[in-house]
Amino acid sequence: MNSQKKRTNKIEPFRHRVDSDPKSFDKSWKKLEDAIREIYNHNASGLSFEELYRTAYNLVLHKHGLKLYDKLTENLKGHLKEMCRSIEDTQGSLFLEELQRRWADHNKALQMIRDILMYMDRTFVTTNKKTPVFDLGLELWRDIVVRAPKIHGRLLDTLLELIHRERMGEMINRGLMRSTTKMLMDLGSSVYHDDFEKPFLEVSASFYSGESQQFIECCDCGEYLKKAERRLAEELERVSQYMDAKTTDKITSVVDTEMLSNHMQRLILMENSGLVNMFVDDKHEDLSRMYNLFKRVPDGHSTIRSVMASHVKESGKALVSDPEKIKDPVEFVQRLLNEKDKYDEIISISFSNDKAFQNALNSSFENFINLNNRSPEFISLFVDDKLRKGVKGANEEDVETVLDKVMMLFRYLQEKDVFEKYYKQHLAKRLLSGKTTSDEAERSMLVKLKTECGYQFTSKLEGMFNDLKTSHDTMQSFYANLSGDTDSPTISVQILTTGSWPTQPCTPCKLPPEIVDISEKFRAFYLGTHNGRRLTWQTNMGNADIKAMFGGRRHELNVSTYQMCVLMLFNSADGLTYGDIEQATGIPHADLKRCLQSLACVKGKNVLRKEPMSKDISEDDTFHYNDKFTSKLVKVKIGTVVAQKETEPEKLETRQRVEEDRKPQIEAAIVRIMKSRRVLDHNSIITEVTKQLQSRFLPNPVVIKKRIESLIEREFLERDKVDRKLYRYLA
Amino acid sequence: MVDHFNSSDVFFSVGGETFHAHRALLAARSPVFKALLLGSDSTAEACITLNDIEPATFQALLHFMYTDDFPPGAHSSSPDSSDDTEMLHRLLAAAHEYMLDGLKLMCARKLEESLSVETVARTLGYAQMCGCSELKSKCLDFFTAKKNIRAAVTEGYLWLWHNFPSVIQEIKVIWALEDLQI
Repeated sequence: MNSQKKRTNKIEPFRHRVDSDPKSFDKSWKKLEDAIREIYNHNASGLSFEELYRTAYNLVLHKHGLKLYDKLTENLKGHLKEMCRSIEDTQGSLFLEELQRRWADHNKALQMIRDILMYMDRTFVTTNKKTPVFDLGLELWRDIVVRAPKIHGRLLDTLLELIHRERMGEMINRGLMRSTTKMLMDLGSSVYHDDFEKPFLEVSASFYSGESQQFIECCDCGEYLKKAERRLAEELERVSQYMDAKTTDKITSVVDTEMLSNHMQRLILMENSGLVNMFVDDKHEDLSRMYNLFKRVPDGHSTIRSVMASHVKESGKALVSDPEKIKDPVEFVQRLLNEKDKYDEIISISFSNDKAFQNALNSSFENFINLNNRSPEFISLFVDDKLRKGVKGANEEDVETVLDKVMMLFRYLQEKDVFEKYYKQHLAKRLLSGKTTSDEAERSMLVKLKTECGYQFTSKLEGMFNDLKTSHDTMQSFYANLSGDTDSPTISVQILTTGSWPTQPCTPCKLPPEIVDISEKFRAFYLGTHNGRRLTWQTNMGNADIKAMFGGRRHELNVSTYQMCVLMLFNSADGLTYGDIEQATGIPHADLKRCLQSLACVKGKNVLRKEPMSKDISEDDTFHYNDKFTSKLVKVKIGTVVAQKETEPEKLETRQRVEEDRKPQIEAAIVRIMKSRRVLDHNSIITEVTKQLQSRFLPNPVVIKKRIESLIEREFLERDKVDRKLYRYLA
Repeated sequence: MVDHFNSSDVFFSVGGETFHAHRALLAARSPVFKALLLGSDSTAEACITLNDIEPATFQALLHFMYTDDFPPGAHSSSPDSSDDTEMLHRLLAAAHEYMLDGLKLMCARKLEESLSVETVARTLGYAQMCGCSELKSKCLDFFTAKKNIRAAVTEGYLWLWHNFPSVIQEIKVIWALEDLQI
């Protein structure tokens, strides 16, 4: 056994002998040193990795790790200093190339050296918290080459110079730029930042500061924005091509600040080319560009919004206050619609339907539309116009579209109850004169109003429609039941439910006997089938068709009820005085004057002759049947002189009625609020009432106060004894 | 796979013997082989000579890299076989040099099991050299167990004394502590 062991011992030379002989270290190190030199001389192919690895492995195994590490460091420093010199000596434009070449060499060498020294890296380096071989190589490169005094400044200057040239339009070697910035990144992001990025940003800031100053002196707003946009795109491209991605936001922020932020006010307010001009001239592309660019800067959008809002308000104010422009209500509203269309288009095309802008537009419109207190009336007249005549050559869809747009304007109105009053009046006129083009369009409008304002708003209006339908049915059954009587005139009666219709109370005038006869028959028929109702003839409305002979020619006249009464008198008399007529018909003064005026003083419609021949009616006038009346048409319509728009006194009256109607609504709101809250202070009541009623109108705080007083008097509320501003609900 | 000539793309000449292998597999198992075969300092040469390793050891190394196991018949059933122990020592050292941690662990475990008065000293030395702390501490325990005092007079102990003085110090310290306790 023993000899066997001995034999074993002899045959196998022990290779793992510890050797503290310094000479053997030097021998091993020399091998490595030479190998490293060959590597840096591009001569690595002849080396045996396995042998070199083992050499280093053994050194570390024998506790020479530290010595090896230090020798390595010194060695690397030496090679780098050599490289440094050759880079420094390179002339002119080849500087960057030489730097790059050496960098690539060094990287390759480091990888090989790291592999050879793998054992040291994984054991000695870790245990002793030393910098690993590869990182050590990078650090040394940074300190000895990149930050060498003769290289550091030159490197930065070269990079910045090239970037400047590219900005000025030259082509540069981007590949070289990319590998250089990548090198800096590899050395550590703080190296990239300190040695390149920071100075780059500073230089860029002053470049763009200068350029933007130049541009703004010589360009108009649109041109300037184009240039800014172009520069921004350039910088983005530049970074993506040869800088680190995280520089992107930093450089764009610089451009944003220098080119956009710093000149924002001046650009927006620029004369002849600024934001307002773009609006006026519908410069969609420029507006779009401005929107996109100013999105990037603080307060960019809010500034645009506020300029837009005040411009819209101002031009809107001019629109609604210009006496010329408000002469024709339909034109007026059409202009409003056009203005709305214009800005809707701008917001849609250039501002990507941005909600904030839409809201700003809405409040501007709301603001100026209500500056003219006739807006509600005019909007109703516009709808009236459309529903009477229809849109020429338009189909159903177009009418719908127009009405929808009008609804948008309606929403802006603060005094919706005023609109309601006028709408009712106009609708009544349309329905009673049969002057509506499309029943469907009328109904459609009602539905829109109901959707917007609720059932209350439209219930009475719907009542009007129902009345007409019912009247139609009633007339049919009246004539079905009537025994043949071909002599009496044909009547067509519209029975209106009181309260649904905006009619003025009227004392009936004296009707001609032929009419009396048939109308009484109708009254009997109606009351026979409807118990407990009362019918009153509204002689201030209605019309009649009369056959007349003038100088041998037959004509058919279409006249109002009053006019009919007057004309029928001339069947039994040739000439009558004003007084005669007044007595015989019982028509009120004002109406009679207007009636006679339209019969005698209007050219082409003068079926009566007046003495004396003057424009105005006086109570001393006499009237004769005008046998000399001629007209090209057989059927002649004689309208009554009536203004479509309200006269001043009528306007006042309508407004007064609106104010009267508001009082109970305010009171109802107060009571509702107090009933649920029990105790509330004055200001809160005002706020709550306003909130509740604002969909119909804006209540006046003074009026609210008066209503509160009235409710206190009627013991719905009481004042608190201690605090005069507090109110309490009395159950 | 080790004997499969066709798809192998490198062969090693070790102590006169030739071994075929596949670069990719060796590179995957050991960073040292990776650097040797695929790294920037790698050689494209088809044949690589390895000095300073025994053929048997290299074969066992290869076998491990391909199968994660010792070669069959590498050990006799007798745990005391000194040939086996020396083989394990050499294999342990090779595994350490070529950074095959799995193999190191296997060798260390096997050596732990076969600790004897004759082998403990050398095993301790190899444990120290290759950084196998568990094996080392087992060896120390073995050494300092009273009944194993005879281990101090082996050739292995002498070898240890020459090459790993720090370990000898450790042993002496433990013995001293033990003496104090007596």
